[in-house]
Amino acid sequence: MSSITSSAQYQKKLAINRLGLWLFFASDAFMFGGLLVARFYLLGNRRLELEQTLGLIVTVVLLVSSFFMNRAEVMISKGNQKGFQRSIIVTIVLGILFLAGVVGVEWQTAHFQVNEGAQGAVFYMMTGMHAFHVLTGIIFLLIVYRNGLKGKYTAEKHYAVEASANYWHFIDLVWIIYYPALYLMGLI
Amino acid sequence: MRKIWSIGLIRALIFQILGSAIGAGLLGLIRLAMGLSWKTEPALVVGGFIGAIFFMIGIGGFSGWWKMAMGEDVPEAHDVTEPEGIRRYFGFSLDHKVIGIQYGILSMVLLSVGGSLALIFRTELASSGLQILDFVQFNTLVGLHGMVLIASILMGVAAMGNYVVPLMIGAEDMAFPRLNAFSFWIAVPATVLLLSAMLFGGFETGWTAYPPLSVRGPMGIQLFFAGVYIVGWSSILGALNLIVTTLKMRVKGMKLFVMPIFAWAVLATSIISLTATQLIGLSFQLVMFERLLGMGFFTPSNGGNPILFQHLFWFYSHPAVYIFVLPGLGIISELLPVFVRKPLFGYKWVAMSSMGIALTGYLVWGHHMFTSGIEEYLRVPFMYSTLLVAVPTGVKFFSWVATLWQGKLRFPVPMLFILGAIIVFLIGGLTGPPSGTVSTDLHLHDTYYIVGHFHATMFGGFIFPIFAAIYYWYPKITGRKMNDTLGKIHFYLMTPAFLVTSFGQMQIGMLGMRRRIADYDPTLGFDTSHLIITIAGYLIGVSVLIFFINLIISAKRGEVATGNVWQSRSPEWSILPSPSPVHNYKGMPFEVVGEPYDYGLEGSNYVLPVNQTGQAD
Amino acid sequence: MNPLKRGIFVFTGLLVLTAIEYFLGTNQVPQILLWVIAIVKGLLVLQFFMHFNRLFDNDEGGHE
Repeated sequence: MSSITSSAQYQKKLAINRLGLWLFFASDAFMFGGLLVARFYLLGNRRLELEQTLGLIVTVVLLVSSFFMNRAEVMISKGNQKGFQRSIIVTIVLGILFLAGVVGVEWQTAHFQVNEGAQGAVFYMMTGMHAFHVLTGIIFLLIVYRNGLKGKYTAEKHYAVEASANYWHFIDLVWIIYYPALYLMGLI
Repeated sequence: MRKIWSIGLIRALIFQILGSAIGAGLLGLIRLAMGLSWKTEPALVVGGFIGAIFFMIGIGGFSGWWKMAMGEDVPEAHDVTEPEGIRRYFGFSLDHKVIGIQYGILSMVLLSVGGSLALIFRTELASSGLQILDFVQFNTLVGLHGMVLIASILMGVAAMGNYVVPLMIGAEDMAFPRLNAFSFWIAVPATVLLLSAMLFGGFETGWTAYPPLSVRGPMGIQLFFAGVYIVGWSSILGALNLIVTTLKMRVKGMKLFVMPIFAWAVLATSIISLTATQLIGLSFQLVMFERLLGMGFFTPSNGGNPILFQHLFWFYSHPAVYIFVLPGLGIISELLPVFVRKPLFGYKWVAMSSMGIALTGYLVWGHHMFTSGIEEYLRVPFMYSTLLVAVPTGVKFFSWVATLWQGKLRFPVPMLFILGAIIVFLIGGLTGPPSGTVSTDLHLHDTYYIVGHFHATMFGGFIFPIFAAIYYWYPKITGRKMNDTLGKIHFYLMTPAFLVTSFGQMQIGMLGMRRRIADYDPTLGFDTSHLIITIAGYLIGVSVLIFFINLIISAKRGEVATGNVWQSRSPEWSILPSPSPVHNYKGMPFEVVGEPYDYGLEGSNYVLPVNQTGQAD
Repeated sequence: MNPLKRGIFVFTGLLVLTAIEYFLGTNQVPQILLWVIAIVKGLLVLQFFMHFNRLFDNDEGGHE
């Protein structure tokens, strides 16, 4: 009675949790969409003056982290605790690298400041909101990693891993759209 | 002292004050370390948000999730033992019924605050010239009247959704009880922030906070933004919860198209508030950052475009009015068959019309911007999409009229408010198309005509229905009926008073009275009209005061009503005793066997207790 | 297919698409191509990494 015991109850709870998470994504997507609209409304077909190589590097870093996140989830669903922990730690490290690349390097070396025109506003707000999500994602992953070390997750019951993985992929998905919108679209 | 400390609300408010001071102080220290001097505005913003987080820590909103994150076992919501009695309502309760009532109380408190603000500036408007307020005060009051009542309406919608929907669909609780309590309590510090905008210089923009004025005006706007931002999150999370609850927690046999119609309305509402609310949060956030960091979103001299704000803002704020009215219209469709003793006409169409309004609602925001310089080619498409909303709304009206047709009408207080709602919403609806049509809107925009139209839709779509809902479900909450005489006085005072204000506003609006101004030229001859509107406004205030008195005294002295007071078919009346027990239907399983609104059909049942199924057939 | 292997395939696909995207972007092709690639990448992530379909799994969990 006190905790969810039967598998049927767990399945029901799982379905509820999944739907809740996806609705959150839908909601958050509207916020990111709004920023995307702002970018095209203010800058139109103008490209931001950004360092192309750096953009490609951070994009690839985030993509690789997503790959390892997927690996971590597959590993735990097969009961491979060691592999799960290894993959998740790689994901976290890559996430931190991404943050360092965007906030630490890109923000410092950009050709414009926050308060310099629509370009500055759009660039810092879009990358900033995305970086904020990456940061929260890293925190979730750290929590999942810590609980994983305690052996909280099994091959059958690991919704927390699935949720944090989904969140991480969602952040990646946002960047998949934001990367071309910020770096590649429009004329110089 | 200890006793006071154990009351969650008080503890949390003390935490909020401490948190705000800590946040502001920390920011000051960081700035000092960076070699910058003290600045009040960023300190206000940071302090405001940190204060809200501290409030949640103080109330205990994070403790369950913190334990989960730390890998401890957390009991399921229905296993948590909660304190008995009134204290429950001032703490972090996980029961959806308690949360529903908490929402309701907050909504009513905000309703009286927002209404009182209106009475203050109505007094100012009663004659031309400036009497009691200066311009900034007037603007602050008008802006806060708008936003406080929006918050009140959102809370009221959440109150009805929280209390009624799980009971209607036979769920034991909401899908995410902790999130549910969280989304209620986060609205409390948000309210505090919103109202404290008055203490920090107020703001000049009205509730819409258009830049560039909002970028330049007094810094009270920052607290306004912070408050709205957090109320927005409360609304988003509450909507998420309601959607999952309706989609996943229905009792056995309850297919989507045999849900009580109110559940449909709440579902449609929740879809809008889940998604569109992000955009008002974003637009306010952008202005907030523009003020703090000088980002150039909305200042043309810095590469920005103020029209962008209006697009983002109205993408929420127009669908928002459907968030406000859809649950109210759902209440009308829900209660009407009960008091007419006839099936709801065209159930499926009514259900789908809620969805239709929700979806078309996404496409109409531009009609607020006909005069603000949007692209010419956007005007006519937005006009058509706006007029399209009348179609699903018309479906609802036809359904109500057809339901009333040849029914056996009864007229208890809830029914009076339902009929009032239909009439007032009809007025609000019919005055809409002139404002949605480009050619007429160019003249009506920013006049009192719009004010009259808007208040008619809000009263018809929310205020009347929520009063009906409170009179209707009050016995379910307390086990006692509300006083009939006082209820009738409330109705017969409020309805004519409201009609006078609304028609009066439309009349002077058509003659050219601008909205949002503290003063007007006496030679226009509006003094008498304004005086009458103000008096009628006070009468509405008196009638609501009577309602509050009724609400309080009936809880102790009302006529005892434990059974199915209104002879409803809905499970919360036909299965559940009043007042509703803590664990809803625990020990009284039931299933859906028929149609929800087949009133007057011999031998038909909507829900039956499980052990009796089969016998009844 | 083995999910680990599928992950590698999807990842490779995403990498290749990113490379194409970068190449197209630096050569200033019409924007629509970039949108198409971004959406394809997004769909890959939604389908294979985020398991969008799981949302519609049977929630009755075996009973009945």
